[in-house]
Amino acid sequence: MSVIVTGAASGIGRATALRLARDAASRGGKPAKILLADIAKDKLEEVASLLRAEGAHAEVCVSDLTDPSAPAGVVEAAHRAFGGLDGLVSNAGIIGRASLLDLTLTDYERSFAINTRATWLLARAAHPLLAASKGSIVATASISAHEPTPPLGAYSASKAALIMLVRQMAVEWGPDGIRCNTVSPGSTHTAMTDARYSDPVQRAAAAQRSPLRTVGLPDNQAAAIAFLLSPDAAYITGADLLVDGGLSTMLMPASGFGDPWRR
Amino acid sequence: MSGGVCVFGGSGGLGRAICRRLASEWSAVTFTYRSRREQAETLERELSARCRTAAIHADLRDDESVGSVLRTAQERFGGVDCVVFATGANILQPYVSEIAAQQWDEVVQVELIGFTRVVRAALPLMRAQGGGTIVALGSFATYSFPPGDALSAVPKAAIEMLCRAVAREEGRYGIRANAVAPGIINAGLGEQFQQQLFSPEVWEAQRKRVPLRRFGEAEEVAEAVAFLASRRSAYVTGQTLIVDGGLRL
Repeated sequence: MSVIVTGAASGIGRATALRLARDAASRGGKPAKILLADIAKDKLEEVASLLRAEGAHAEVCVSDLTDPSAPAGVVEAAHRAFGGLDGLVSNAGIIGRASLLDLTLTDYERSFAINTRATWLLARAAHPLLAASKGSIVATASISAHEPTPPLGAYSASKAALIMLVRQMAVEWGPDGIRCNTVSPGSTHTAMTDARYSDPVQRAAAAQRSPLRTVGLPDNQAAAIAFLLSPDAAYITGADLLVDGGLSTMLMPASGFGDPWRR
Repeated sequence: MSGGVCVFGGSGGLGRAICRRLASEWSAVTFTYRSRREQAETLERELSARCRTAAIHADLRDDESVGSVLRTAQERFGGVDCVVFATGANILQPYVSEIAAQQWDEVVQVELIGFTRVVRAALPLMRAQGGGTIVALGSFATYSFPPGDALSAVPKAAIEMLCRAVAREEGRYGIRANAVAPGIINAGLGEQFQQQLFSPEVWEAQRKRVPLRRFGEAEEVAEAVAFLASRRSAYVTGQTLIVDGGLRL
């Protein structure tokens, strides 16, 4: 299986690349071929070394997805390295912390460029390769696509747009045999959220707010992405899978019903 | 996986595929049947080559019958780590205006109340063993309603809601609950409908409405169940995975 993973230098992208490499190795078939794309070169090389140690064929592609010509370059690099493509994990994202009143035009445009537009451009460039392989696309959305999340004005909106973009692809490209799905992480401990979840007090409070009483790990998201990407999910398209430990079921407790904080 | 699963409704088209799939991953598969004894015994023989297994007759309208299935599974196989609810009433496709109270009562008893009986029996057992997962079959009709499907869709929507309630209330005990919502599948009732209801032209038009341009296979539904039953979905709870080739979009 040859796959592109963007945002692969850390967090969910890194965990997904490792997961795909290990899944391929444990199934005893051909080693995974993974093109790792990210803006952070050094960390990207580290992940590539880890993948090679798992027996995978890893390539790196340093790329800034705010540049509209970059996504096609990422796909071209994968095409050159692997000769084809079975999967695209469009995972790169930025959080852009600012309320709608404070948000600058530049930051707004940047959020949509990376969180939304890049997935369209990557997927469009990959379409011929994925149509040839009957491959699949998984994009990382967010629980914030479903629930407004202050002060992430542009982030929530760009992730909501991403989910509809991917559903649109599912309808337009289903006849070509390409499946398109999203995973929406809830609270997950990654570099993006490290300031919040490495603080024991904040982490415990966040854990207490979800039914499973834990903050998610990158591998929780990676496992869901790997499932949707694989032929195991052959009849699933246009779906969004929330991987949130049940957090989204907590609206009524948060509004004062029941006794959610016991235990 | 080391533990055991218990599939309610294992002898139907989807249930059988689910049992087969879970048998490749879990050490023990208990499944129930209502009327299809022969099919159940054939499946039991087939599964026994791959895992420990037991086919048990169950009446979902009876608390004691449901409870004894889980007790038996626990005693024989040392625990029930996952319960799958795949049972369905054998129904036709009447419009709401034609459905009598007694027809509603029948499907609600077997499906919805049946599932509440399964959940009520499973929760204390799962709490005591430190966790578990529940996976129930819903329907894509909850998300895009095909006229004539109310008898099936209404209890299925309630089953999904019950999963979310369990996810919310029991998460603290390490219990997860999720649903799989199949679209049109070439097995079970979906297959029966394709043979008995509507003309081939109608089905062909329906197939073209599916973005993937085909109906699903029971094995594809079973994969989604296996995912939600396993550690691969450790942080997924209260969700529905729609396996419909994009039909509802």
